[in-house]
Amino acid sequence: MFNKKTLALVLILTFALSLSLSVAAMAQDEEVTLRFAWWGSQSRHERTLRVIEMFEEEYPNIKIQPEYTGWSGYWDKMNAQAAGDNLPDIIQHVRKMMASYVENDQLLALDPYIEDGSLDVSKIGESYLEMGRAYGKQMSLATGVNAPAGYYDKELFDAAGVDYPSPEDTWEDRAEMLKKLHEELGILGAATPASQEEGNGFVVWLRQHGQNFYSEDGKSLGYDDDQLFVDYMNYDLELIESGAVQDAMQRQESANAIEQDPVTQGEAASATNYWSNQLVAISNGAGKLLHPFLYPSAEGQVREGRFMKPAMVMTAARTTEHPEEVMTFLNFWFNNVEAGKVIGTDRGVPTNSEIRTALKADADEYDQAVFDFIEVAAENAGPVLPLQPPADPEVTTAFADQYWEVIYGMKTPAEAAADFREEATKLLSR
Amino acid sequence: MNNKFGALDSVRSLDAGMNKKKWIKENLTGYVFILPWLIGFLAFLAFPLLRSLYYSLTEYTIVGDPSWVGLRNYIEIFTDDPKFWTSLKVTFYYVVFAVPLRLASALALALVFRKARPFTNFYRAAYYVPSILGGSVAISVIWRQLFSSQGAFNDFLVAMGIMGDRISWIGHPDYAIWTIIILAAWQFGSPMIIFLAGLKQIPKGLYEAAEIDGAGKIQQFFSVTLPLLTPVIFFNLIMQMVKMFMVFTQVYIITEGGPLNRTLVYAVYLYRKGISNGYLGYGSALAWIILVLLTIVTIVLFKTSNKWVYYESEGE
Repeated sequence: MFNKKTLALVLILTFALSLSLSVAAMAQDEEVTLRFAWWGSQSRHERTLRVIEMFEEEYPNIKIQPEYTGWSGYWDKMNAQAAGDNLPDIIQHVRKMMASYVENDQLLALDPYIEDGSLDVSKIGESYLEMGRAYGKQMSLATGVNAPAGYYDKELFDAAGVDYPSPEDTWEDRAEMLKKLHEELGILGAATPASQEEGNGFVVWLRQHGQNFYSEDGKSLGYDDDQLFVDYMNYDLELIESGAVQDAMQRQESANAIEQDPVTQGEAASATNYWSNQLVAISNGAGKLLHPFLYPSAEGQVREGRFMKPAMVMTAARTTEHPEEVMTFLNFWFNNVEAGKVIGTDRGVPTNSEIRTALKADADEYDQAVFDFIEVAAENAGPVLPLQPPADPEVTTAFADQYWEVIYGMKTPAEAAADFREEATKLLSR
Repeated sequence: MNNKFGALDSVRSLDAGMNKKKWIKENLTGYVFILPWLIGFLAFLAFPLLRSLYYSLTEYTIVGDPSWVGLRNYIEIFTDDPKFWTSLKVTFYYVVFAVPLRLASALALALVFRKARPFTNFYRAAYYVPSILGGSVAISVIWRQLFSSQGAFNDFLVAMGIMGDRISWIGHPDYAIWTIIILAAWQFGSPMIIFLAGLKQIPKGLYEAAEIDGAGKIQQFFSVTLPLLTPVIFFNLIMQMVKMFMVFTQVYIITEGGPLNRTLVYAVYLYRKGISNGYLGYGSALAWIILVLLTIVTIVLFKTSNKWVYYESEGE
């Protein structure tokens, strides 16, 4: 137990320590400390800390104070700090959360720093820069990108004598492909013809027909003609009938784990509803490399509808006291090749072309395939998706509900299209 | 201790005398002993409970701060949320079938294990295992597998010639809920143990008397066992019902609320709204509604219990 003497001693020591700390702080007045927050796994933490070390070696007058956690709790912490005007100087962010931060004026626009040259983005392609923009301003930079991907089993395609999927395929070509695979091999062409429940396939479809899923202001649906919904669902229904894809009950019961997709068991020749960063997972499930492919294009399409998505983005807080040093760090992060090698593809395939080349040179077979695919995807990507409105998760659920009603045959596509419009309009106008 | 509480004691003793002092002393020890529980109760039960009551009256998304909206969440739930009614219907359907099935299987097994036979203890333990595992993710995954179209249940039915074609039990809108009800019925372990204890309480003399009066085994069961067991049945009924109203893991893993929301039980819907969609305020309101509903159902059961539960000590 404490007695008076030890208590006094502890007090004195505490005072002495804090005094010496503040003296030390005064002595190093010119040193700038930046706070950098990110979420991630252990491997990301280690990689990031190593990059910070490299940075501090090169810029000894800037100290980076890392603040890292897992995904859960990260946003609670950020939101609390945003409320207290105490955000870290550099914040790892995601596009789907950015809208409210930008609207509440929490983030620093990067345009002036790009213009005056303190932030170099010359090696980052225009489409990647677009991914960091919000409401026309460069509010962030994408750390890396993912693209929606299907995967196919080359051996099975060879056995069936079917051409490999190509970016030029139309939706009709793909339907033929799936049917032929089914006829020749007696297995599924794919579990589903496109990712549907989540709406990604539908988003591509709409864009190819000159429409959008959400309107520009995010207050309503971005397409007026329900026939688009109907055609899209009919496409699926016809394939279900042919037996080339799973029927409703099979889809309902199939596991959601990517490693157990029918394509990994040889029960389907391809899979359609995944992302480029899942190549390793699905290939591991299959025990061999499965090759990625893009969504089809639409016959006589109005514009390119396929898209890529930033895995995550880097932002700066508007309240930062050291914008110059923040730019120094971001410059290092996005342009230093050695740093890029340490970061790897952990935050998506890097957007800086020089870093991408360097990484590709060292990559294994699986990563090579991802790099190649991202290049193809970039060549075939339309405009970046606009920021999602806050009601997005609920609208997606509403879409999924109607999707199931249709493929279970409880509603016609036309009924479902109308019901979805009603529900989504209600959610979005709230 | 003496120093600290001496002053208080002396004040009390002025008006209440020595008895009061003794009372405090004795009870204080008691309070100190329950302090760990009390702290746990306040920190992990009372505080979160009140907190969620507050949240239920706010609009609170995962991204933002809670802002007061009064009863708006509740009004919306009752007037403008068809899925709320769907999930209530599904949950009641589930409870109405799963609870009696579980209790019946528990009672049946308890009757079998009532008499000591060789290995009875082993079997009692073995049959308890499902209810330890039942809530686990692993069992749910296996269940999913069992009742899938390629699963063992279909193998069995087809091999026995009961069915010509395989059916996706999990994917079928009408049958999916039953795979989960059967899983619930299978987890009869804990009510079974309680039934066993209840059966041991029934005096042997009553059976002997019944036998002398010429009652067969079946009549003995209905005239002696069942009436005397009603307090235990009642207890099990309440406990199991409360548990089943909150079923989550099994449904979440086996069907995720599908197909066509036919297995969208209340807890899964609550999770979807509160966590997946990020409406914590709305989710809290949903949680409070089920709490109140459960309380009402329990009270009704208690009221009716006078009519059918037989307490031996009554009237003494």
